[in-house]
Amino acid sequence: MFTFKQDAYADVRIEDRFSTNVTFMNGMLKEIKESKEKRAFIRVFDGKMWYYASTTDIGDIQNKLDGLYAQAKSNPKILRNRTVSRYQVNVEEKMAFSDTSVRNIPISEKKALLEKYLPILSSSPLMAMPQAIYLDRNSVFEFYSSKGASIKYDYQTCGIVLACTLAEGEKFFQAHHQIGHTRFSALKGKGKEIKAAFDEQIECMKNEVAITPGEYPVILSPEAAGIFAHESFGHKSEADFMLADEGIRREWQIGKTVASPLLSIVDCGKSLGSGYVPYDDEGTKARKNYLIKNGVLAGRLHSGATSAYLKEKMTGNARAVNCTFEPIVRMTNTYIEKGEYTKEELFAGVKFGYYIKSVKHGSGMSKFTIAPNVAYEIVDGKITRPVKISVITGDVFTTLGLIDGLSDKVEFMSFVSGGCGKNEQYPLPVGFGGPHVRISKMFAQ
Amino acid sequence: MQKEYLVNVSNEITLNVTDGKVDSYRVKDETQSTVRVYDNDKIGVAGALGDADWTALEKQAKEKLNDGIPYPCKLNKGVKKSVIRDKAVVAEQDLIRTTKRLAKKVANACPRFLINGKTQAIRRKGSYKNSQDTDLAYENNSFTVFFQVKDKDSSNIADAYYQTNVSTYGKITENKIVNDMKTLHDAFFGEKVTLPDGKYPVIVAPYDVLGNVVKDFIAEYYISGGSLFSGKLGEKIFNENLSVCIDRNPKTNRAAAFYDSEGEIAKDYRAPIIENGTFKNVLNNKNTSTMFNLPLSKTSAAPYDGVPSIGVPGLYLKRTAPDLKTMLGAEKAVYIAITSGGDMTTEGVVGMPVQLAFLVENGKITARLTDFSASGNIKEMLGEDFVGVSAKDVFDAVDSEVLVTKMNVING
Repeated sequence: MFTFKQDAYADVRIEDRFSTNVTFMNGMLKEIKESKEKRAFIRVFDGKMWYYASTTDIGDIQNKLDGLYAQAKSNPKILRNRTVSRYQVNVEEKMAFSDTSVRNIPISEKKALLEKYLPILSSSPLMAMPQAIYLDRNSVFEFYSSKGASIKYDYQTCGIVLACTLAEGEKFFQAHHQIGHTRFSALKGKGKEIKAAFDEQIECMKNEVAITPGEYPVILSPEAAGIFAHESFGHKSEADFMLADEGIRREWQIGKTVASPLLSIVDCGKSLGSGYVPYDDEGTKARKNYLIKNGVLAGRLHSGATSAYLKEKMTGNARAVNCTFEPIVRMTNTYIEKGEYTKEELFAGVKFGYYIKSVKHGSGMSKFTIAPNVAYEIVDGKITRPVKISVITGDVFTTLGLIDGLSDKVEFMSFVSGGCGKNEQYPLPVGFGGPHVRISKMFAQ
Repeated sequence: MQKEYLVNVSNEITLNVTDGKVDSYRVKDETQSTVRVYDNDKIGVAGALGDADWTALEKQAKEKLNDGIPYPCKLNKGVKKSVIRDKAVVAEQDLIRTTKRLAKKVANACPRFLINGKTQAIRRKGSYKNSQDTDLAYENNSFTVFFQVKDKDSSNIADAYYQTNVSTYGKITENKIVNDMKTLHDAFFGEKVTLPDGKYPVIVAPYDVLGNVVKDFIAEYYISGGSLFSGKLGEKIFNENLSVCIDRNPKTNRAAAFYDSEGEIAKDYRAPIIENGTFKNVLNNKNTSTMFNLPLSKTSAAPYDGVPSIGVPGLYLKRTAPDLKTMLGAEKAVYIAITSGGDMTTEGVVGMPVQLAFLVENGKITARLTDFSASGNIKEMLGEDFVGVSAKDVFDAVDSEVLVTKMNVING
């Protein structure tokens, strides 16, 4: 398909992206569009420097490739380079969404779905400025390398994001609910779920009370636990932060105890959802990667460069947010594995603490932070009144060691808006999940 | 039928630095074209990547009128203006050499840091034309230096950041950046000091505080009653020394066009939100301005193929002091370098877990502080606790203002 030279490594990644946006604001149509974008990202590596270019003109790829070759130095031994030698040569077409592609669903049907849920956002006199958004994306990726890789696969998400302002006197609350999936048909019949979510947030607005800042036992919902796994340890497992860092390499030895023995965290791009990555952007096939297994450091996430540097197996985690950026080490679907307690048993272990049910956002480095949306007080093992918490926060390693219980059911989350940010690349779709997680002490304010 | 034609072109070169060495060179050139048509208070939009077929785009935009998206809009008439700053800060052929030299100097000045980062040169140019004879054009050039550094002995992903967007680049600027990095390095590895719990002047990037309330100024939130400031347009809501604008002035924002996506130009290219503490403008576009009967704020933004909404390309705060030494003298102040997230409750209570902070005295960093959380109520932080806005950061080569307000410091 492309004319590759032998004295430098090169690969070409092409994305044909279809997306839909239907938005209603305050009952009026604000946006309705289908976008079709084709972009390509071309990489050439001479063993010392990478040269990258992106283009929206697919017919110009060979020209761009030749331009990058002209900048690179000739290296006849490039195939023996420790990074290049690790690149897999997969040849496969793996289309998971041909039969259910959102490209084939008329936009009028997507609009009609959203219109069906609109009345819920006006079902209480406390609701104002309702906003309803339908989003979907179907991407077909192609990947070709000078080593002979030839891969084609697709990716799909669709979902709805509903929001409104709740206001009563001086009190107000930004209420929202999101449903993400890979099939359009799965978004139908969700009226009860949506109504319940907004009713709960109305109750929160009416009754939530301020807390006294301090350290408390906390139970994280599967959504909050997934964000916790992603922010607290997922980012630390991205091996590019270890490049050229011998000290870290010594300290982060596989087998080191880093968390409570109850905790196992996994990253895996194989399952369908917003973090589905059957092949990463260097053509590496997805696999299940334990980051922590029973509290012990079990693995980390790699690109070709980090895999070569640390002499560890490729994991399928070199990802770019789109075809204008180079792939860097990123997560896919990250989750905490289940434990042994029932949810009731887990809560019974808390005399006084807080339950973080839903989350606005999270972030993390050596400390991590989660900003709750809906949170409750727990008294004698029972959920009582809703509370206002701006953030819960903790030192990553201290908190990982303070996990003292996991429930026995894992829930996975998929999203259609937002995503993960790293360096200049945002938002990258990821998935996460987990069971309910009990932590004996976190700082809440 | 009224029509608008927009073109935006960006040419971006990014060099990546790993462990003090340049290891990649990335080129991104992209052209985005837009046609918007208006008829019977409805809008139709079509956009394209790459070279546009204007006739085809206009046809598509007209077809999109059938979607019936309401958008009352009065186009700007007969305005002709161009602001061209076409001189590259660093010439393309010098980028690799410059970045290699800077990275090497920084690595030498900061022996205990692992130096990663990027330099990025971006040329942006664009035009806006409409059927009412308005014709606007701009070109900007920016050069950004970003370092993400790590203590070689720490287990963190990153321990500190440094970023500056410079208008000129020569030996003086380069040496200032190296000196800034050495200041950061020496303070990072210096003695850690714990401030007793209490209320202190805190020095932050303006968006770290104002970012909590930007949405409260947006028309939809304001009108719905869901804004902290609903119903308070025209009232004094903050300290009388605080003035905040959406910044499209090329002197202070090198990444934005001087006009908004609807071809509107604010006075001095800065659209006021807060003027001397008074809530001056609710953020809107031509649609929401008409819909909610609000003065047009000239703050719209739009994707190349979508309907305009609101955009905040940058904030400009009126300076109250030339530097921190003039503002604070020898008073102890806290410079917040990295926060770990943070958020605000609906009552305006801000929680800001701090990951890296320094003690500042006489405008200079004098020590690193131990970890703490900062908190305050946004209305007080921008009201009675607001101290001022310094035109200069603690870092010499960082050419952007910092906001100083009093916050509660809680250790732990």
